[in-house]
Amino acid sequence: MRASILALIGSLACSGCASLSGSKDQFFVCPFDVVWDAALESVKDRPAQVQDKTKGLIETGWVEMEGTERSYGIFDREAFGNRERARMTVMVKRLNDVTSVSVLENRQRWHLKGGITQQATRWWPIDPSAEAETKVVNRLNNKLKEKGCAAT
Amino acid sequence: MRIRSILGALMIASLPACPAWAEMTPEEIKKMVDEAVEKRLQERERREGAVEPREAGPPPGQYPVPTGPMTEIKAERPGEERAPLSFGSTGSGRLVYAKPFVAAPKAVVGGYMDIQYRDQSKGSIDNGYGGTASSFDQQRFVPFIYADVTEHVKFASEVEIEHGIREETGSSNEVSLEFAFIDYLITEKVNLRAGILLLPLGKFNLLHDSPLNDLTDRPLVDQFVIPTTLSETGAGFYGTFYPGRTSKLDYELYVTSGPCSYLQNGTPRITEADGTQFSRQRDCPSTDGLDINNGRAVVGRVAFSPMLGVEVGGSSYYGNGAPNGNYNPLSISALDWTLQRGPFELIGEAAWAYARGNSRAIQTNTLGVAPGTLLTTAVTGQIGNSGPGIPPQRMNGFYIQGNYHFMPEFLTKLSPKRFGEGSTLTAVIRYDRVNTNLDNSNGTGGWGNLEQISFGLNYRPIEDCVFKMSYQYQPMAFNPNTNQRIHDSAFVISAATYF
Repeated sequence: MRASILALIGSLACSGCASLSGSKDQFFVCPFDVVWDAALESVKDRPAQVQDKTKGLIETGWVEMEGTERSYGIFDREAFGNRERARMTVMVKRLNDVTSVSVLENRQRWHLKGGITQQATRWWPIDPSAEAETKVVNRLNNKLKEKGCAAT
Repeated sequence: MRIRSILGALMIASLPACPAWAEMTPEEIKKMVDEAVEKRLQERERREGAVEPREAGPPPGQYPVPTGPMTEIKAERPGEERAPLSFGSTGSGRLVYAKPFVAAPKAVVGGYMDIQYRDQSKGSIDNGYGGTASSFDQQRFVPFIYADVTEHVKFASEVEIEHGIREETGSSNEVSLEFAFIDYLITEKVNLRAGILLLPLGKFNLLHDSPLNDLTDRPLVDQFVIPTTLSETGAGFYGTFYPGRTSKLDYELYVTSGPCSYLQNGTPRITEADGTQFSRQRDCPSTDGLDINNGRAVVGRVAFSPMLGVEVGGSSYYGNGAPNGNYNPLSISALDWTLQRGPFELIGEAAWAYARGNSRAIQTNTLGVAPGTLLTTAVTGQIGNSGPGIPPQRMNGFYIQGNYHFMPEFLTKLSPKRFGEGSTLTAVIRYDRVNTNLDNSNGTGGWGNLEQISFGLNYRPIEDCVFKMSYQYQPMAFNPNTNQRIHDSAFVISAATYF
């Protein structure tokens, strides 16, 4: 019984390791170099952390911002600093005839849980902002459109 | 505005008396008048403090009545308000306000409370009067204070008042600091923490607040094997690493006072009926809760999250629980997991404890038995199902819980305010299993061999407030009033909210 539970947990945990789960994926009939440059352009408003062209990986640093409104308790109070931060990961891959681009945002909120826990002074992962991801994807699409690349 | 006009008029009226101004342009004169008026106003404000805004008073009918800034309290004489309050401040009665948070409030005061009604099928609720089958219980009233002292220094504390309806009777009335610590944030990878710490042993101990949990009762493994709420005085580090694109690794590592596994006469406090819960520092009879030996305990947890919604944590605690002259360490290890996919959650925890030498008499005991002798009920007065009632050395347990969050559309249509965005219903099922004496081989095991299945449904109007109901089926339970193994069941309803 316990062995099966542990095996289930292990397999579920490992299934998440291999992919950019939840990313926005796009495919372009376009040379890798052109897509790579456009991908760099699309996240140039964020601090660069990793730009590895051989791996096709772009990672930005954390950008801190005012969070979406989050109130606490039955009195709906604002407290603990309404802060969020996000970083963007863009994967550019050569496929047979096309180049794929995956865009994924990691977003975190300062002090996620209601009230005070010992976990209060910590960043907690939350769902990525679809709006922020779409903004990057749109920028990428526009850049590649200018270069005459078609999205499939 | 009225004062400004009067002062301006006076300045202009005095123009003919100043021959030098006759050579100035109208713009220059206006500028000079403005500057003079501004200066006079500033002087007036300094003299009178913030009297003028109060003259206006609150708009009629406004409640609560707004108060002035707390910084006004500290100004005893003109000019003093510019000096920060400190030991060098003058005065007497007002020195009580010589606190930095008066001048610059940074603290948040809040808390949570819960209330429950329980109906057991057997009279298995221990009320000190031979037991009862049903009762209200206001179990926890927990104020907390949190402060952003600086960008890098944080303070957090939680005061727990349990079963607060009682006055102090010398029984188990409990008012204590559950945690109170100062954090010094260095980088995200390494931060310092010191104070009374919630020990990172399993995940439930860290997130045990009633409004966070979907069932009223804590898991059995977190009552008997990991004695939640487990906190000790100490210091250490915590931090977060990001090893991959979507993964996260959190750790906590602390050195603390350690367990208190024995009474002064050498009677073990780790028992089959109560598990490890009386080995906590907060229950220790030592003076001021001080360490009972010269040893420290080490506790740590590592939690790996490969992606959002998935986390597996491993944690361990090790410390000598015996008084000086003995080395009988208590070690507890735990594994916890959290899996979230859409409206589904699968959470749980397993823990193993080993109290070395707990079944035998320690050196320096005054029980009248030779050190190393096997302890029995006759010596310790403790219960146990294996005849001699030998105090346990090994115990373990686990729970696994499934949650499903949903909100039927007809309810949202019926009352969007009550069942709209932010509100949710949760269906819960949990399986609990624990054995507080693995060495007890008498039949089905000892009195600490427990099993429970819970079915729950709760409603959260907002995330921080919950109304819960659950049915518990207990095929293997224990009646502390009769010291008997029983089959039992219970219906529990409760409410809990942060405020």
